[in-house]
Amino acid sequence: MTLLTEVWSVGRVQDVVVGLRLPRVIIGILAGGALAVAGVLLQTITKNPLASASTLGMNAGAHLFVIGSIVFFPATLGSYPFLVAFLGAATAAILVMMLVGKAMEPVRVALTGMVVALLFSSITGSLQLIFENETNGLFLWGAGTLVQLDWSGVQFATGLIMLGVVVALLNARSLDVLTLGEDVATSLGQPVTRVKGFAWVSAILLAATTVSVVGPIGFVGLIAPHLVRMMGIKGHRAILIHSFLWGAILLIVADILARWIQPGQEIPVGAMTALIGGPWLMYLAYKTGRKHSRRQTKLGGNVVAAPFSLLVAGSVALALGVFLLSVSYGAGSFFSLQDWMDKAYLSPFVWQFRVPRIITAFVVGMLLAMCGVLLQGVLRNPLADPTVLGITSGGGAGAMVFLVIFPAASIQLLPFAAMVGATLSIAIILLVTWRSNWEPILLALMGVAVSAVGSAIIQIMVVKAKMGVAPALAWLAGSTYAKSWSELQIVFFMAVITIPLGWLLIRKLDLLAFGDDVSTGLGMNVGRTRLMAIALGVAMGAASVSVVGTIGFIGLLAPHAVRRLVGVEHRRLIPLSLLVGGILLVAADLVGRFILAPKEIPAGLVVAVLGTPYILYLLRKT
Amino acid sequence: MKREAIVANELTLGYDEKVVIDQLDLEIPTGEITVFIGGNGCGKSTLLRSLARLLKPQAGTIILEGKSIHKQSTKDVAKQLAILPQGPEAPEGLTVMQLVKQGRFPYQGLFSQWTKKDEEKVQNALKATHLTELADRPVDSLSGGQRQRAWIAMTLAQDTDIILLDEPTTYLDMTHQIEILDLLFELNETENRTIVMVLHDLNLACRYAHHIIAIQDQGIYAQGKPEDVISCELVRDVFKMECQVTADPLFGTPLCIPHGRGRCIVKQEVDSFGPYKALS
Repeated sequence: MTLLTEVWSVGRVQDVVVGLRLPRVIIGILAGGALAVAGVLLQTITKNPLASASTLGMNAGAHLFVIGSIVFFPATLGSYPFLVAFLGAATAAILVMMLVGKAMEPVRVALTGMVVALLFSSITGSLQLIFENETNGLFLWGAGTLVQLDWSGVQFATGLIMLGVVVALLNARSLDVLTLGEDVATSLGQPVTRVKGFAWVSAILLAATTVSVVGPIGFVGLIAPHLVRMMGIKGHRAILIHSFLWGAILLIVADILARWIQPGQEIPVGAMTALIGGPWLMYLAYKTGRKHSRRQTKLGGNVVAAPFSLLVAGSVALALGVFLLSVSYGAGSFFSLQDWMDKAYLSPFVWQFRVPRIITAFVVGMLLAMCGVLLQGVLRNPLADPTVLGITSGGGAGAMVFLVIFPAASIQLLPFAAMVGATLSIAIILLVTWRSNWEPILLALMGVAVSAVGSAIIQIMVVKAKMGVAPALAWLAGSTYAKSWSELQIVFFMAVITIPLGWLLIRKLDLLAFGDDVSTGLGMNVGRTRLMAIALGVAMGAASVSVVGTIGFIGLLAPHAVRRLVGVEHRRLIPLSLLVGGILLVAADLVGRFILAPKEIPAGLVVAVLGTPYILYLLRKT
Repeated sequence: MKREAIVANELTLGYDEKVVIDQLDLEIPTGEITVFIGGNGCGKSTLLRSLARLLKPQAGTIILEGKSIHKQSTKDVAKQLAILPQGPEAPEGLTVMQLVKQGRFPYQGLFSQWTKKDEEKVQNALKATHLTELADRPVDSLSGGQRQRAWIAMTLAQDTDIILLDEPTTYLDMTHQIEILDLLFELNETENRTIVMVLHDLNLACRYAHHIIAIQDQGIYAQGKPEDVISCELVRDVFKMECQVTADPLFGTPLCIPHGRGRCIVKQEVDSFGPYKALS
């Protein structure tokens, strides 16, 4: 005691410890514990080993709402980050629950949560890009960081977190009963709805509190409860307490590792936990996937009576229209009729910059749509697209690592680095799932895990490269900006090779939809077909990523919209998807150039934002 | 001269470490209906799946028409043998016609066109299953029995001598169970197809099967004509249940009446039903 007071009075150096480091450790303990407890609650109420605040999209929801409030209502809502974060987390949770339906099938929950998280974070990304100045200080927070400048964060969080943990502990016995199933719990006289309500609210409370103080940090809530369960600890009271401790330990260790990797600089601890947690998620996904692998997902489609030839003709006309409109727009105005007469489109500026950019957009749109068709066919899952299999984040990570290691290298080589990254991540997924003959559910779950690792690498590299955040964000958001004829060559070449090859697979893709047993029974080599289709899809996805960065959702949107129109047969699905994919990206590019002219919004973000309502509708339907 | 459609030698099956079937020898007679019976989890479905090369054996061989099944290309196998797995699911919105057409997959190459013969086989399959009128209806709008018929039509379009079915009557009500089994019986009678299936209902198995194979303890407990094989001892050993075996009053095939508890409204000791005698 005397020592402490002496040290206290003697050195101002200790102020650093008390003022900065101590609150950092304490907030780490609180946040780690809170996330772990939230993880336990969510895993129990959704009966899902893969549930946590991050996998259910709650972190992303809170993040979006906070950024949004700072941008749009800086005066009022911006000063109550907790309330805003709470609203965001709750919105995400409700959204995922609504979309998944009552059954809460683990794989579905994981995929839906991931798509919701992806949606939210792409909107967040676009807000950060457009309102660069307003959100400038928030990048580090947005990736999750324990940096504390004083004790205010701790003071704020302690009460709320304790409240959440106590509510959880009071419900421990009810949660034990709930694990037997809702029907059993009801027949044992438990008010199931109330217990679940309490659990949801406290989980959201805990997640929102941590997000508003330290930003979205993933994986702690996933790993800690599993560690505890693996140690053989039974009963929710014990599990909750142990998880709190392990969550705290994990987060502190991750924070120390992050500071140790790059001394003197802040690597977001959220990226660190994702890096550590990704392989863990892969392991969990493997176990869960094996247990549920006998369940089959279905691809849906409507057989509308619309004649196919009419649809194709309409799409071609639409494509031409969008194309001409896009060529004619630039520098804030459209071509007049007179400009067309004067052949203004042949002017060097338009010919060198606008035309290749638009054609590139169209070809990339086609590639992404085809990639989506292939992957959805293989995974027998309507939610599959290049993002889900980790192709996009793998490609992004590859490009970022390349930028950091060879800062002087020519930017021309970036596409190849992206391609290597994408291939590497898909190779890992394929190797790990090889023994299961590339079981669709396992593939999807591994994809989720690998893309989490990929995004973590991207975040770490962004910090490590001290990159101006905006250009990095723009590339990651997927931009068709300044694409030249030489870049067009890459995608064009790729399209000419891969699309006809994909066409050869149509009959087999049709057959894959019936499940492994039926298609094997009909004499198809299921494993080989999957491998071929995935290889093709990856080649397409990687080529696109390498040229325009990470544009998601086209691979999801185009095949879906088309499947509603022409049904599940690939000989109709493929040509129309190609057209729709191309149209979508060209249109997105045009909208992105138009809305905030002369500023440009990356096409990838336009797709994400405009596609959101449709994707939500689609998630609800499937 | 009668050849065996499928022969298995020293077949060992299992998942990972767990052995389900151990060194089993088996012969499936050509042109007959063979039914596997056995308790839950005895491995009868596993055995059927392995005969259709859906599951790779850990050891042993399966001979289809004189050649090892794993040495033939999977497409060639598909021209000799069709399998209808348990509870198959069709993509949403798919029509009956589109489903049945898939049965022609093994006959189509990368570029080959839809031929007259393909069309004929599909039409015959639809006719045999009485689905011609429903051909344009989506599969998921059909009743359970109709849906199962559509899947059977797909395996028929495959035009194979052997058809394997994994519990084709599960989840169907009694009317539809009989409807499906009658259909399969008819296919065997008129077209002489070899049919191998797993059935849960012992009594229906006895009625429809020429050859019954009881699986128990990782191997075959007994096999032969139902009237020769089915006995109280068999049911006791295979299903772990006491029962009385009598003759089906309509067909004369063995009828198994389980013991146990329940309301009794005849003044009769259960033991006095008398032993079963096959009616010739």
